[in-house]
Amino acid sequence: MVVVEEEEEEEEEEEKEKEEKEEERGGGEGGGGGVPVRLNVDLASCIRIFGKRQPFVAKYKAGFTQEGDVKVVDVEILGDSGYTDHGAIYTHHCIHFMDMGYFVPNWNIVGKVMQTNKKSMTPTRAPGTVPGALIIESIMENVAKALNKHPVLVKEINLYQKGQKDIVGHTLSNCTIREVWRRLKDIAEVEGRLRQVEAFNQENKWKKRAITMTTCKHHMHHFGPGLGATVTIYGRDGSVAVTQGGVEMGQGLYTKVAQGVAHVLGVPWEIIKVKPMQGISSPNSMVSGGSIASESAMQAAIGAAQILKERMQPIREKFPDADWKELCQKSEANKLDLSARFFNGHELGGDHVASYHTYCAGVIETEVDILTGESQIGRVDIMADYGESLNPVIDIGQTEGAFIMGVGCFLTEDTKFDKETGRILTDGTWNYKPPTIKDIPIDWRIHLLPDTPNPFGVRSSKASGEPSIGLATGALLANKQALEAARKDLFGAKDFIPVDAPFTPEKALQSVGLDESVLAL
Amino acid sequence: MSGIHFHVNGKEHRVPQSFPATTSLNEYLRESAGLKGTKVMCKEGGCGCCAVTVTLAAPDSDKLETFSVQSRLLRILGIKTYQDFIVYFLIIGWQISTIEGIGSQRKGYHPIQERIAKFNGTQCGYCTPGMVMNMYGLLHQKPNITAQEVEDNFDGNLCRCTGYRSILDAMKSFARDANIPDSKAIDIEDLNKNICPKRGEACTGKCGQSLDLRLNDACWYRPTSLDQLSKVMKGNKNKKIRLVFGNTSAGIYKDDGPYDVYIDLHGVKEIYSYEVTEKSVRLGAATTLTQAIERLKANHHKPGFKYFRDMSKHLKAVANVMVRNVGCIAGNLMIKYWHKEFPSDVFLILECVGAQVEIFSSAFSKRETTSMMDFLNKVDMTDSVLTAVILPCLADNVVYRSFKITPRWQNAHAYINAAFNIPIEGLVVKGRPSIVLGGVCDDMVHATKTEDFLANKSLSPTLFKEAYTTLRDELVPTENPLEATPKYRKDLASGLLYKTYQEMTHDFPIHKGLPKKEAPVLTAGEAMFVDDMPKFQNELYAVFVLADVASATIESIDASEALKLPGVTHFFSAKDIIGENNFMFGGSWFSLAPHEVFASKEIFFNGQPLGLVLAETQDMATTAAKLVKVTYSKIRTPVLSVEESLTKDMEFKHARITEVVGTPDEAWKTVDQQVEGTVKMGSQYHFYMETQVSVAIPSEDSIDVYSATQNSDICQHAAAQIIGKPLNFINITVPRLGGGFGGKILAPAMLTAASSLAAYLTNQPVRLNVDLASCIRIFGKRQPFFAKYKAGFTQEGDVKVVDVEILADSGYTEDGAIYTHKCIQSMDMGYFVPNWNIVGKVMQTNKMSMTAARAPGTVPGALIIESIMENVAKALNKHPVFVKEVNLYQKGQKDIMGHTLNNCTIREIWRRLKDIAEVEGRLRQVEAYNQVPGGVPLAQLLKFCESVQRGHWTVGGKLWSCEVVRLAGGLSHSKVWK
Repeated sequence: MVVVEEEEEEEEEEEKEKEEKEEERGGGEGGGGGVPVRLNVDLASCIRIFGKRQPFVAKYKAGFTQEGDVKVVDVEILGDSGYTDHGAIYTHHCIHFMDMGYFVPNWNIVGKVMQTNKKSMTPTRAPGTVPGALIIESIMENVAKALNKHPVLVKEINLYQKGQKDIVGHTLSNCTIREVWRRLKDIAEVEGRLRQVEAFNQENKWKKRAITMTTCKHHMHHFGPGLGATVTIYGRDGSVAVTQGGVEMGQGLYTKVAQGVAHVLGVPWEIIKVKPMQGISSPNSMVSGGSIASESAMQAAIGAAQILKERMQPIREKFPDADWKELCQKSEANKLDLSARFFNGHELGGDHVASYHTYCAGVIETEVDILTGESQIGRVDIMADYGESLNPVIDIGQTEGAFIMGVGCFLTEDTKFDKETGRILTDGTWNYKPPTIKDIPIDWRIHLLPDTPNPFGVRSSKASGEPSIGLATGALLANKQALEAARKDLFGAKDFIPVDAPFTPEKALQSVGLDESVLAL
Repeated sequence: MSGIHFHVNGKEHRVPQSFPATTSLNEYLRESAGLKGTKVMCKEGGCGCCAVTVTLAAPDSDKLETFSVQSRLLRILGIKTYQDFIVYFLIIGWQISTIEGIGSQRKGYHPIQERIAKFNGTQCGYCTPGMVMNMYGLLHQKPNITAQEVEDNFDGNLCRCTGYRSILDAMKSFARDANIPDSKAIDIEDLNKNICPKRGEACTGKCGQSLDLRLNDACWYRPTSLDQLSKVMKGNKNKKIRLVFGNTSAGIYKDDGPYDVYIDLHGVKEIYSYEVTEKSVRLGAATTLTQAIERLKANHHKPGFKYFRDMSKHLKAVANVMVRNVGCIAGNLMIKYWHKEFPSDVFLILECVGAQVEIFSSAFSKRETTSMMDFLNKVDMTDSVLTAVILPCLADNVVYRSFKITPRWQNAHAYINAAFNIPIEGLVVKGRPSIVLGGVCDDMVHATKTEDFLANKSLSPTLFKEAYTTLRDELVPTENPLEATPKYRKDLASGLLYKTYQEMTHDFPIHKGLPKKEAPVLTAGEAMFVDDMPKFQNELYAVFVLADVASATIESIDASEALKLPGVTHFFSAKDIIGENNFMFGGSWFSLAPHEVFASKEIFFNGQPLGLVLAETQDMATTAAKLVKVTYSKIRTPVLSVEESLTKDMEFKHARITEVVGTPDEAWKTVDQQVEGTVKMGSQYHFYMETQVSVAIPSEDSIDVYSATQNSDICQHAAAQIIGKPLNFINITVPRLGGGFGGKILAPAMLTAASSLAAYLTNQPVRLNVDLASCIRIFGKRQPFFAKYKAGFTQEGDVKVVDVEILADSGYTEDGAIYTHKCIQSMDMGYFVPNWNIVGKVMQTNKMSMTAARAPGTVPGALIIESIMENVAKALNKHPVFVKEVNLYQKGQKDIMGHTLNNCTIREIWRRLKDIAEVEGRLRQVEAYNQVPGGVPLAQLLKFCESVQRGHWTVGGKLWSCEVVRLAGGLSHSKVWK
């Protein structure tokens, strides 16, 4: 009997344990049935799992005149696509963006999509501009080196003229790069500073400075189905809520959307709230990316607001003196639907499918410690053509943010893999190094090209999110120039140090080739 | 000490020692304290977005020092090595400041926060709280900071968006040497914010054992195998044996027995099988109905078994869950075996699909498989036992439908149950269909003639008519006083054939009687009603404090006792309202007088809300609400009826409604006779199963409000109005209602207002779920009324003129005017009365403000006019049915509102209904039965003046009606889906 009882108890316990386990698992009998699941991937896992910017190796050959006019470029690119062939997209982008601000009439480019045992590579802010800019700016600097001219002067010769055809075949009828360049060079006092830099370098053996200019021509085009917006007016107090298909990720999309609605309705900006994006009210949205989501969303919101404005027009005519709130109340009383949706399939309100180029140029001056490879960006001037900027505060923020992301890409953010296991080693803040606060230019000036409305953009504007990242190639190239200046000092060398981004202090120092012979004690 | 305590933003927090030893302060702040302003990313101190400040006095000093730290790196209890160290610090007064503690939308932003915003230093904003807290700590250490010091002290904060310039400019604007426009040093008052002022019958598991009990007059056996069972049965030959499993049939056939021998089959292992093959599914005899449902569901997606979906649904309608959990399929079949009249759903659906049973004969100790019909009619089961049911695989082209028509939806025997198994290609029946009917008569299983008729026919309306006639001819329901009439059962059974035919031929899905789209989630309890929203962090539960008198003036409200209870956090009343103390608004489709959310001074009814108690649990809040002390003056005897109200002259005279139709004064001169009378009606509580509920959650720069309302607009308005914010400050979501019936048109606005106010004042999520008793006390119900009428009519009973005076009990507000008006406009119902003279008086009482309740006009209107008609009939000594018939609307007549009724179908409905319901014959039967005049009034007539569409079609004289617009339950998702 005793034995039996013990058995019973054990069974009960087992049963209880089973129940407890089921409870831990969330059970299956709870009223709601489902269990909420939160999947929040930590930093190290994000770095291990998800695709990043595509690495590449490129070999080029450039032909040019005595004046430095580049006539032909051959390039072979090996794009590291990771384990899938997604990289083909970014390699293609890279090729389409390789001309940047420079007219090269003849190209012969081969892009090879290489498989590796890495994660599948993915879009990273300006996936074409970053490699494209690095290649063409390197070529230009190399040409200059070969001609023993300053890169700024060689690049200037090669800048696009209005009406030339670019690498994709677009005729650049509205190209502003020469205007941007001229004004920037002037405002940043480049000519004078070139001399100052030279003087500094003559006086300093272990600190070298360099100044260079870079350009960006970023093709903005609209892809995917477009974005829709729903504008809702609450009749009784006139407050306005907007929900639309674009994703706010810091780029100020909601702000621009609110600006557009306020403009059309003629109401204070403050009474407009932009609510979170929801699939049920904003279906079939294109990806928010490629710099153009803000303007697309704004245009959608403008379209919706215009529908409302037209709908309210008869009431407005009936009550010309009514203030906004009264107008809304009257509209509601007249059973108007005070919510409207407009889907911007990228007509952008005009006749043209949006396709235009954002142009910008930068002047970057850096100083390199020849003994450590460390560098400091002394001054940066950027001039950007954003047409009539939708919001200069936000567009300047985008310009700065993109530029610094480029600085990280070209100078500090190195990824390393374990050769045996293939595991990424740089998986945290202690070994992967985006810029911090002191990596930014000590003196930093952003200028917007005035008086150049864009006939193809939303409200005459141009998109701003990505282009200026390419300008940061100048930080690498200036550092390299500084190092080449040191090599000239130390070794009488006139060679062109190969471009290898990120051009970390490690690589910078290695490129000098210091040996005891030159370290005069 | 018990637990660890420390201060966050000046508030004491206690952490039990049971907390996981590796809990970081960041985890605690975000996951336990709900302070999500502090972000987390790298979890390794490399990004700075988790920064908070710590204020403490060094062990050797009384001076408090404040500095920023990475909350992620601080362990609440520490890894073991640090535990004592940390605890030591905690008890001497660690104070943590988080981003929430230094400034907010509500309390005003901190200058650092303002400065970053102004300098456009945020893009995505994820790093910003860390940036702010780092600067906050820095300014404590260096109130006179220099620009260089700023630059030197932001190396732990990553930002990916801005490129930092704008952030640095913002921070440097606090520096004494800043070369930044709009620079200003920190005010000392903006440091040390929110620092704590103090400083700081149970299963025995023996089923497997055989049992052999002898009781007084019976034996109990529990064999463990068919072999043992066989021996028991053989050993008890000629005795009355009862095989027992769930024993649920004892509930139906109470008079069976007694028996000499009971054999419990639970131990017989062979009857528990469950086998699935491509050709069949075998369910052991002991499979309970619940298991059967699950097993059918588990296989319905497999080829040839899609009929399991319908079958499992059908089984769910068998008895109730307690029965299905213990009763087994074999038991059900055996009831049918012994009681042929039993409308066994299990037998029905199994026979329809051609299932087989496996029977173990104890005499021969062997198992045999046989058809259901042979089992029922041929096999001698006295010494046998069912061991399994085998369900076949059906061809893909088979339409299987089964029905169980019951007096109520659940736990009821069928009037008729029916199963159809029709192999069909296009519209051609391939072979012989199977039509099984239950509840018709003892010996009818298959509708064999109809089966024969339909075999290999091409479906068409003409063919269906013939099939229908064939079926009706072979249906001869037996008379049984307990069952529905044979005619009804015949109509029902033939109607089910039509339903099946329709389903096979009709355009899908418009006009189809589809189940509600959300029905599955509703049945599973997966549907999310407002109160099913998961509990939010820091959520507070709210309970209304209600007035205990009906008419008085508030002198004082004292919540101090309530607030002393642990866990009780707040009490809010009228004086805490920031915006308007009103949950109604004017200017929309109805214009209603203001209603206070919380009574500010005067009390108008017992149950009027005075305030809201907030606590950490529902129970605490409920308990605390009772402790709020209210003193009143000028307490008056409440006025609780329209008669008293009239005596005290409390009519809302300006709201009086006078409706004159035609020329009543002249009509009175022409009528033959007149009657006078009164009609009185009380109230009705909506009795929505989901009581009034609202949840308000502060979010970003808004409040998310979840409301169980029929009227989101007014709720959004009320929620905004009470806190003086624009409408776009409120994001309102209405998931679904657990019933509305008009009771959730206005009342929920009071809840959204109150919960929005509470959420706004506390900056915490607030759940306000009003319990049943309070709902009944607080919220308006159907309007009671008292009506006096006078009707003039001809000798034929044709009513020519009606005068009515209605006294409507409007409660304390004049909202009742709306419903009185609706009543007047609905008063004609299906009857044409050319002349009316109606006066509606809206009477004030000391009750809650009356509100819409399902058909607020039709209910009183119908009661009045049907009463008048009955009264007229009485005066003429006629049956009311005949008087009413005389008065029915004709097409083209004008109704009480002046609408011309060109499409009026009431006479057609009346005629068909009277015919189909055999009214004339039944009137005679009733009279005979009563031997007195009187009898059954024909059902009340409805004429909806709204454009409610009603589809009607007849099936063999049976009227089917489908109301397309559902008045209760709101908009059906099914319709939107279509």
